[in-house]
Amino acid sequence: MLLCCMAGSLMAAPTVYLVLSGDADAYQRTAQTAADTLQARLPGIDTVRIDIDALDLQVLQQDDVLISIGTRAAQRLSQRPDGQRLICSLLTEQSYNALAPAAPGQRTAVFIDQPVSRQLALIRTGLPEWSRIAIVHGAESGDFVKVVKASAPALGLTVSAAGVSSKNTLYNALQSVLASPSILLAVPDPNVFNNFTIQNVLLTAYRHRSPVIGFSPAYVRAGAVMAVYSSPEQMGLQAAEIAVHSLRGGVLPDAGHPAYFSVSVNPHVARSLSIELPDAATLEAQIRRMEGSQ
Amino acid sequence: MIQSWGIRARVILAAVAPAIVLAVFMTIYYTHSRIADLEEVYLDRGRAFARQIASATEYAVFSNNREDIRRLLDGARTEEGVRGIYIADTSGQELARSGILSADVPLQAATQSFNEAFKQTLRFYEPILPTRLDVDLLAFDEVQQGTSTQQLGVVVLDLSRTRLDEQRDSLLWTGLSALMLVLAGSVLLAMRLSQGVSQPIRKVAEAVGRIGAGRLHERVDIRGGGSLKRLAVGVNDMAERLQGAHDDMTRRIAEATAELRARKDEAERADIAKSRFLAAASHDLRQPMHALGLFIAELSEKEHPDSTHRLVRQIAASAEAMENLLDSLLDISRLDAGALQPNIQPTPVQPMLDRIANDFHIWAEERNLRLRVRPCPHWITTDPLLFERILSNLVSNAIRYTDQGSILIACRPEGEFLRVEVRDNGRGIETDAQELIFQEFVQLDNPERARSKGLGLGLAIVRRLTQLLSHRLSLRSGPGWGSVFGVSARRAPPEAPATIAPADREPGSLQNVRIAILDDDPLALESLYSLLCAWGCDVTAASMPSALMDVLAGGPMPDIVITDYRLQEHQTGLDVIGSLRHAFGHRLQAILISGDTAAEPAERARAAGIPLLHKPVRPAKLRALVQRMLTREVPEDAS
Repeated sequence: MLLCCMAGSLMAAPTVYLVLSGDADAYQRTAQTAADTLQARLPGIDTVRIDIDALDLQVLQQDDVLISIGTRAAQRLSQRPDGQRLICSLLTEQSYNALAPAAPGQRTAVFIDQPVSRQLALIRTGLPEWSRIAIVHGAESGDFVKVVKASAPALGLTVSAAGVSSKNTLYNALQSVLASPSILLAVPDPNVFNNFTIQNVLLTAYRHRSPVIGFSPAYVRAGAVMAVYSSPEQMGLQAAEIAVHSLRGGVLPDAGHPAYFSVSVNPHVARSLSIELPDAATLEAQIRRMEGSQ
Repeated sequence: MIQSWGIRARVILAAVAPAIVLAVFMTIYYTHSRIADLEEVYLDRGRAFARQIASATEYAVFSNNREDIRRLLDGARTEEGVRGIYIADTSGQELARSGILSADVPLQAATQSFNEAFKQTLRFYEPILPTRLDVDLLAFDEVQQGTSTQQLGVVVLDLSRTRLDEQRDSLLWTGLSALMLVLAGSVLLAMRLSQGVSQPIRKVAEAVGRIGAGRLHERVDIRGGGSLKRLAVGVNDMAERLQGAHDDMTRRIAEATAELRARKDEAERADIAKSRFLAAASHDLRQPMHALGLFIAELSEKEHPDSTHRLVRQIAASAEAMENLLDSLLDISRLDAGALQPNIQPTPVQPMLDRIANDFHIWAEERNLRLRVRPCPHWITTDPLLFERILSNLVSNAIRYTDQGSILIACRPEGEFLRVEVRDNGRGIETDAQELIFQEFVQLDNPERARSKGLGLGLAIVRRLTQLLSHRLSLRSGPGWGSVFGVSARRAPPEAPATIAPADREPGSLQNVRIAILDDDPLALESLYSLLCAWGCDVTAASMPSALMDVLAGGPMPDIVITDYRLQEHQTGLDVIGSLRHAFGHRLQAILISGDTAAEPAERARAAGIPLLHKPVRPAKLRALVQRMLTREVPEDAS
């Protein structure tokens, strides 16, 4: 009986696989936080941290939970036959939407992208005197622009957007949207805003004395005036919470934006642009208050 | 070639060759590496400059700000060596251009930096890339990242090679100059060093040369050590020994020479002593013989009983023999003293042969020998008196040593020479003795030294006379078949027969001829006085010059003065003759008489043109001379 129970408990205990896309530091931090959270919430739970390339799908049990960390792991795991529950973490909404379709309730995700509302809230709280938002975007981020355009007026903001194409260069798009003083809202679109364009974008914006709202702390360090983002730890935490919820019998929630976030501010750039900025904690608190009130 | 080099050249080669090789190698190596470095630096500079331009124009290209780009390029153009800069966007469309880019080389599209080298330019391509800043939220996510670096454009930079070439040329020249300097320096150094090596050796060689030239006291300065020192010491040792050997040899030669000279002097002294003895002896013998002869001549002039007459004849014969002996001695003495001066002239042979035949045929007949003379028409170059003397000696010798048979005198022409031979069929002479017989006092068959066979001086005189006349004397002889003595003289062309007949030997009248005589020897003076008085002369005699001068003073001039050569009061006969001629005029005839065999009186008499008679004077000879003088005087008087 004991043996049976033991065997049954052994057989019944599901394992949480933390599948990493690589050995980048962000993946490790995410996995570490997730593992720690799982252990804290479900003591005795088996967590296996494994690289996507090393994972043998045959050993997986039906009730195991997979947490993919990074885009590549999500793409690979989405291609396997349905079975185990999959929680995608540390990928953009755009990437998640591009994955192969999955059975309902079997898959969810926490995007790394921040919701438009949160970004607008940041703009409203950080730069209350500015009313114009300039957006330069690629073809693939048209939805984002639509959402912004839809949400902005409620906060008293106007939006001017310009698309970048082979005919319209990034510079020309920037010139057109920054013609009048505006806040340049960086779109997390790698075709437009990437590591190679960011300097010229920042320079162009600076020449127009326009503050740039980035989407990562590095962006802020490079010259954006402020940014709202989720750290890998925050991502891991949220993914682990979903897993715990699921292991306890809960249904997987819909894929959505991260619940936890941070704000980063570059006071030097703000001073250069003669902008008075509250500190990051204040902004963060205000944004939470605004989100809580909604 | 090196084998013929001197030490110095070898040392220079040894010192310079490695330096040259090293210098060439180092120069080539460092110049090459410096040029490579220079080119590398130049390329690096060009690349860095292109990168710098790309970086500087990044934003201007991004913002398509052509004015900005041009401004940047114009600024960059001022950099040294930049010929032109060109910037195009990714589609290859020109954005800006500054300076000149050589149009003949097409521009390439470049996504990576690279460079091309042309003849005069270096072309650098540098893509203009946006600066990368890791700002993405998903920077770690390569799926999100995308790979495009989104090149903005390209920079084309033309750099002139001129400066590079200049620098390279300058480097080459510098390297070459350095090489030359090193070479010159090392050659100079090697020459200087080689002096240190070759100079000691040269000094040794010079010293050896001087020693070789005979300066044996030369020594080499010993400097340095090792082989140089050994060489110098060795040369000095050698010189030392050479000098020692030389000195030794010189000393020995000097000793030998001195010894030889001493012996020669001794021999000469002995010879001179002998000659002087002979001269003195003959002189001292001659005075009494002279007087004796004159006395006997005077005695025979007088009337005597027959027995006395026979006695006088025997005395005369003995005196004659003695005089002959003395004549021979005197001849030898005169020949040895060199007092005889031959009077060489072309001479007919026949008259001499006639006189010889005349003189000897009586003696030959007495000894039952036939003396034959073959006629000879030739003339020879000789002194007739001396040649006649040679022949008479040879004939007398032949008569003396031939017991029976005949003696033949014949001539035989031999080319330029004429040999006059005296043949006998006497006893003959052994070959061993043929040389002996020409020595003085040698008589082969006269151990008892019989006076009838003479003194043994005849052939000695013959040999001396032939030597004096440069005639060749020959002898062919053998025991039993007789001897042939020959005298070869150079032939002479015949001349007209002599007009002067031989002196008339017949005494003429000397009555009242005034003769002054002077002799310090009283015996000689007395005998001459007596003889001349017997001849009927008017004689004035004196033993001293002053006395004679006194006697003659105021009187008539004498016809002839006969004076001894050596006189008292430190005067000679010549002085007296001079004084008398001063007093009586130069026509005064004079005869000198001398007992000396020395050369001096004969030479002085010959120089003065005064006849000299040697004592003992044969009365016949004196009379003949006086006679001749008087007859010669006659035409002068007549004229």
